[in-house]
Amino acid sequence: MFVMTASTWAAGLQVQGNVGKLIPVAIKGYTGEVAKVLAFDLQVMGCKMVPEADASYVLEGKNGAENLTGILRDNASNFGFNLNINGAAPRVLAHALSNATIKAITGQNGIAHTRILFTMKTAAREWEVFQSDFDGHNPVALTNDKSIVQNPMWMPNHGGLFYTSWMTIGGLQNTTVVKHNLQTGKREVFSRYKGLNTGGAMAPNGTVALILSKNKSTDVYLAPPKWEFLKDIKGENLIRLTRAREEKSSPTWSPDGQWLCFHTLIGGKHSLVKIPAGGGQMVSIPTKGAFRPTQPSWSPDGKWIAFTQQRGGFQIGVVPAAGGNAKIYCEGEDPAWASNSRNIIFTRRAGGVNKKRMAILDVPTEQVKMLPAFTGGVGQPAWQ
Amino acid sequence: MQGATYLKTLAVVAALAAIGCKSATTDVTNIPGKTLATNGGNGNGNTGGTGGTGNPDLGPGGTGGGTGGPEITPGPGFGPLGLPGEHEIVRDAFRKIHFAYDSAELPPEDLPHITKVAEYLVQNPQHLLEVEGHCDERGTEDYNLSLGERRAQAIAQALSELGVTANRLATKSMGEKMPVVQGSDKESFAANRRGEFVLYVPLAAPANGANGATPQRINLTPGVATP
Repeated sequence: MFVMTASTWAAGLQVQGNVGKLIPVAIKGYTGEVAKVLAFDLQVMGCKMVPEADASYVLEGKNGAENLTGILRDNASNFGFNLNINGAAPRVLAHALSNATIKAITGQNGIAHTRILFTMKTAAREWEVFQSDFDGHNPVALTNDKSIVQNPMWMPNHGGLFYTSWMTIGGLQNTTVVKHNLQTGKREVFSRYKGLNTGGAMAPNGTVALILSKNKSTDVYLAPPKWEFLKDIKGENLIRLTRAREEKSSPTWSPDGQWLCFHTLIGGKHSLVKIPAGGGQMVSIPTKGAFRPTQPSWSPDGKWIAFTQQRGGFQIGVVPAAGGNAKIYCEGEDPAWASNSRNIIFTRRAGGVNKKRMAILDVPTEQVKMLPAFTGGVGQPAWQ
Repeated sequence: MQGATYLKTLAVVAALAAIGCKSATTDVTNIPGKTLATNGGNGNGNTGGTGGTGNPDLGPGGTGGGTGGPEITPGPGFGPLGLPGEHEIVRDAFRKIHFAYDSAELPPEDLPHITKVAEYLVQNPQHLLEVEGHCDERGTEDYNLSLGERRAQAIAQALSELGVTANRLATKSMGEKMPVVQGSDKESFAANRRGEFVLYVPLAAPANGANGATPQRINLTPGVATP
């Protein structure tokens, strides 16, 4: 990890709130990779890079091999901070400086230190789960199953993940929800009933939402905390939340764990719905103005639900969590919120379903930044 | 009980033969079980003897109990953790079923084909069948996974109504991941919206009915193991 020392912090800097306008920032004195990282990070979090004369804020400093300095001031020459960061790779230091800059300017916590999960096509008919920095750098393969894999989802403490793998066990390939501990590398079969096994959305209390077809229709089930598949091979201790033939997909919890939102069809119409965690009636989440909504993702602050609209292509939309008027932002699918409830990572098709690239939307400013392309098409990012 | 279940399948075949294969499903499934058992007990020889079937839900299979020929012992079938014993995996033993856009409704014109598949399975009680559901790329990845499963379930349910016991059938959604045609045009999409049949033939057991009759194999081609 890095060490950050500050001789000045936010001493009279003009602070901008969560405004819907791009914040003009100039960066001075940085070179190479560090300059690129700073610019990318700040743009993702709602800034635009401008010449010093046009900037509301100027970030100035120097980068060495394992050292980074930064002085932030506003256009009235009020100092924000004077930082010295060292002890890590240049990208790590630059991300830390970006976060500090956003914190000083907006008062909000940055997301430049966070990580993402996603799937990537690695060969014909093969996909693996990858983890990388939020900007797609430093990717690491977490699986090597040479099979299909979908729906990587973080556990709430980010110490592990769930995903849906088409594993062959006992001579039979079947969808299998895998629980993967990132500290130990240990993997276990979390759910492998006959038929479909997917989902793997864990609530803060450890309850895991699954989509299973063990009883002939794809339905939503809850696995209680500490539930173990091999001790419940008939699924008698699972809580079945739905009983209907219609498809269900993309379970996502409200951050307090009180509601589970997912996509289904109501009267043949694609809809977002929610059900109380203890079971009960399915409640519709209206998405006025949106067409064929799927893939809901509940924001960490509980206020919003992002989703994919399908109208011609695919678009990213956001609706208040209780439902209402939906706003459509940009072309894309597979939305997932960042911890700041402001950025959304998503994928965008660039000539076919196997050539998807990741991008990040800044909701208040509607700015979109594309992530670098990978060798294979990527899918279904999940944000720490 | 297990014998009776199997006898029911015999009777279903007999009933199909009697009333023809077109739109027979409703009539077939409505016949009370007890009558079926009696009918089936007479045996008609078409299906190669009688035998027990596995527990429809789970667990080890029955060990027979019929009287229509040398004993055969169908395996436990598909369980949550896989298959008992070695199987030859035969892809595309039966032709694919195609679906309309965003639909899991079985095309009525495919009912005779599905009936043939059911007949084959009834005649080969040790063979297991996996139904794969596939989608085109016009849908989100998450939704297509559920849609593919619903397509597979629709086919499996039809087979079940035609007398194939549940533990011999498995469904597997492949979502949009395994298109047969790469392309983003109408024809490619239509080809990719499909159900596929994957037959699991036990290596250690006789492939045919136990009475020595050779059941008609439908386009049975050498298998390619799933990846």
